Amino acid sequence: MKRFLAIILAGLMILSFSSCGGKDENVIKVGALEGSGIDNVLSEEHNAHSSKGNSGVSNRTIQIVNYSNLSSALMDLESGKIDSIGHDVCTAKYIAARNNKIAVVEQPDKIINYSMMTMDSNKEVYDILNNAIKDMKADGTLDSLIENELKAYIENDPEPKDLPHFEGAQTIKIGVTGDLPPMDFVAANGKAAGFNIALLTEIANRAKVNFELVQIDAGARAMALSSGKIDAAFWTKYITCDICNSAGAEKIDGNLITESYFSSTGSIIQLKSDK
Amino acid sequence: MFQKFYDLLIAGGAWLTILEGLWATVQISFLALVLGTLLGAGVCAMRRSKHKILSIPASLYIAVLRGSPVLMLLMLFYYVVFAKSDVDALVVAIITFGLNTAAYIAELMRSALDATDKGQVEAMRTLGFSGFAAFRYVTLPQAAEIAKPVYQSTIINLIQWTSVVGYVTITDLTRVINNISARTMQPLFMIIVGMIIYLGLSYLVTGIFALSDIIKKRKAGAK
Repeated sequence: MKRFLAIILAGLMILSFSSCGGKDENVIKVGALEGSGIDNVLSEEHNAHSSKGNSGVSNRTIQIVNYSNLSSALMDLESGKIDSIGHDVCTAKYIAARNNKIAVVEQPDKIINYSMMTMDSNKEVYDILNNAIKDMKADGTLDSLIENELKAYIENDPEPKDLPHFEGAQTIKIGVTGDLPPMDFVAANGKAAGFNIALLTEIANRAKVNFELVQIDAGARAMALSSGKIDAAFWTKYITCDICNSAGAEKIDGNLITESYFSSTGSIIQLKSDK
Repeated sequence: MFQKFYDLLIAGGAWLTILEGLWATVQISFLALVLGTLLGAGVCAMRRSKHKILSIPASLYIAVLRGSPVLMLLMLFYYVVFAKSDVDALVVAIITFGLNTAAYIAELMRSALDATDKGQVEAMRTLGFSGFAAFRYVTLPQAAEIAKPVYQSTIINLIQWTSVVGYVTITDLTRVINNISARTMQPLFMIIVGMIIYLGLSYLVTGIFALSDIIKKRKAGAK
């Protein structure tokens, strides 16, 4: 019994000491998903907002803390390790609808582009995806998908649909992370769900190709692409509005990025108590 | 609290996906342990050999495999060594964890064998027993007893290490917990649930070892 109490007390002491660490009031820690590029575009509005009522606003610096997935960032936000998370407003609304501690501050001047990525050696797959996205944009299918499917996923948990299958057609392996709702997540029954699946369904129907979903950790996407274990992956990029109109198909470090299939405005996700 | 438990873990069949993830974790851990133990015994025999042609490669194997992070090794195997093959990710994970665990098991076997009294083996040989008989009836039972607690820790470590297999497209227990965290946006709750399940697995291993001790004591008592 004595030993048990000693262990409990030691644990409590460690917890107390760890929470005693002084927080640097001059630093605002912003969580961001790795590779999102948020650090290049964070403006002073975040500073101003996060420190509302604080006269020392201008002296505060922003420190970006990178995370491989949203859940880790959210845990650090709830435990106070970071002050906010910068991400697109759709994801922010999804989180706020399911976690009542979360508040969302929209940033209409920030844009997050959702695209798909292939290796530049895999031009055939790139063309299939990029052409389908272009066509869907041109005929308004994409807008209608965003209006119907995306909103449904933000507000409710609709039953995920199966991807179409075409006998004897080409199969493209797509990497999905399952940790970026409402775009990419795994439903309660274990099936891949979200707007990205709705998009793939439409592309499959147009291009008459089969998609094989490969669930992979976000941090391993680049490795999986370069090794050929997957043919394409979903990709997000934070950009400023002044370049959003020019952001289309581009080539980065041996990879081809398709035209964006969805552009969302940015937001700051924070705890209601910090608002 | 009960409602939260139901919404996150039961509703929509989430518990079934947790069981599937748990099954993947158990499969990888168990098969990697079998492979690691067999391979570890071989490496241990090589390491203890008087011939340098055997002992040096064994030492090198232990140094490299024990010194490299298992996640790096796993990614190297899956994305480089088996990149062009159709070998299932689960098999690659079993091979990787088996190879990694073999290095630890080889060392724990070596230290356990070294800790036994060599005088007893010599006494057996003097009495006319063969080298194998001396090993089978004197060295092995004692070495197994010495190695048991460390072997138990190695198994528990192995189970915990498997939590990185999400990097190679396997949906294991950790991956399922992360999936539910991401969907429900309740990561703290889910991490605690995940920890409890892993803790349960660890206690199961501890329980199996404790049970084997009890059975052994009962057998000894019956004699």
